[in-house]
Amino acid sequence: MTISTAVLDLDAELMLRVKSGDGESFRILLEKHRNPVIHFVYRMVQDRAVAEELAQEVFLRVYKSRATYEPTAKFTTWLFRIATHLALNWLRDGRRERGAQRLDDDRGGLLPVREYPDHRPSVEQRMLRDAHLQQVRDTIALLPEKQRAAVLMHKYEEMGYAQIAQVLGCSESAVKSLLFRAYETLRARLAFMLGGGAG
Amino acid sequence: MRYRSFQCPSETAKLRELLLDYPAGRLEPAVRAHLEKHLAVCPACRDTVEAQTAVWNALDAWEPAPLSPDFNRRLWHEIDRVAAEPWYKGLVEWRPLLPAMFVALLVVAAGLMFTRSHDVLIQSAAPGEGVTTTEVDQAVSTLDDLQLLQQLDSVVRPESDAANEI
Repeated sequence: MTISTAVLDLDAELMLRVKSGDGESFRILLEKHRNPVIHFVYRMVQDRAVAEELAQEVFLRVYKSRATYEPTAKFTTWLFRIATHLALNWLRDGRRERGAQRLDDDRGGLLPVREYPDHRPSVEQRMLRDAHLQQVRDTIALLPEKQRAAVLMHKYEEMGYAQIAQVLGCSESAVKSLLFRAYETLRARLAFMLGGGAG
Repeated sequence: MRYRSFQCPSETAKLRELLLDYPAGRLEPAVRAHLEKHLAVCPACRDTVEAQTAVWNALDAWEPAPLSPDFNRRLWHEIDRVAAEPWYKGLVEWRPLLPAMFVALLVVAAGLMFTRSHDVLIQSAAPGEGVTTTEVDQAVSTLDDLQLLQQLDSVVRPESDAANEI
């Protein structure tokens, strides 16, 4: 991506307005990107309280950096680079251990459960679904940090290989390699549960 | 068309990404159609795509936790606090670098002190060199004088010896 195309990015334009003192533009950016950032960080650290804490820090850093902001890349690339950096730092700092208790708590009350208003699942079905979901979470959590970040951006943020590469600061081919290995691991580890021809 | 001569994606690294992008629905219609033709005759690729699709759908089930209702309020509170801070409070962010900055300051100070003391040594050494030169000159002059005296002495001594003999 060239700088000229980046400048055309609406978010980058909003950020330039924030730079010139327009607080309303920051509010728009926050509303637009708050949920994707929190969801990404949440899936990275698997702890809701920590995810919100880190997401607050992401937006605070964006705000603090407004004076020096230059649209050299897509706004979301910059935003997710900050989010990834903070999440990876948190994981590497070993604070995961500190949050272990909360992680356990999350598994109960905070795990999102899909609503089925018309066809309420039976207790067995709900238990099975929760067990599957837990298996997915655990398998994702077992992935190496960069593979995990790449999968989450590819799957949930619908980012292309080039943008993921920019966020992670590596080449596009490295990202493809990360994704191939990550999905291969997921296919192998979840095969028993999915019942497909993984392998 | 780029994919006219279609190879088995599982055997070509460059095209393996098609198997990842297929369940995501991110392929152009023409590429998708070619891949589907290939999947119809390649059991290995078909298995991979089926497994990948199953993983993709399983990941769909993982919805994020709902957001705290006071998330925005807390964030704006923090932003207002930061905005109200005087400029020098921003230096607090440099706190992790303070030890390194302190060491760097010490090195610079030590360097400055060394440079100054070196200058003082040079300045104090400069007059010393003048004295040394003078001393050498004086010594040479003294030696010259002694030599002259010896020559005079050798000239005068025979005359005095003769006077003694008389």
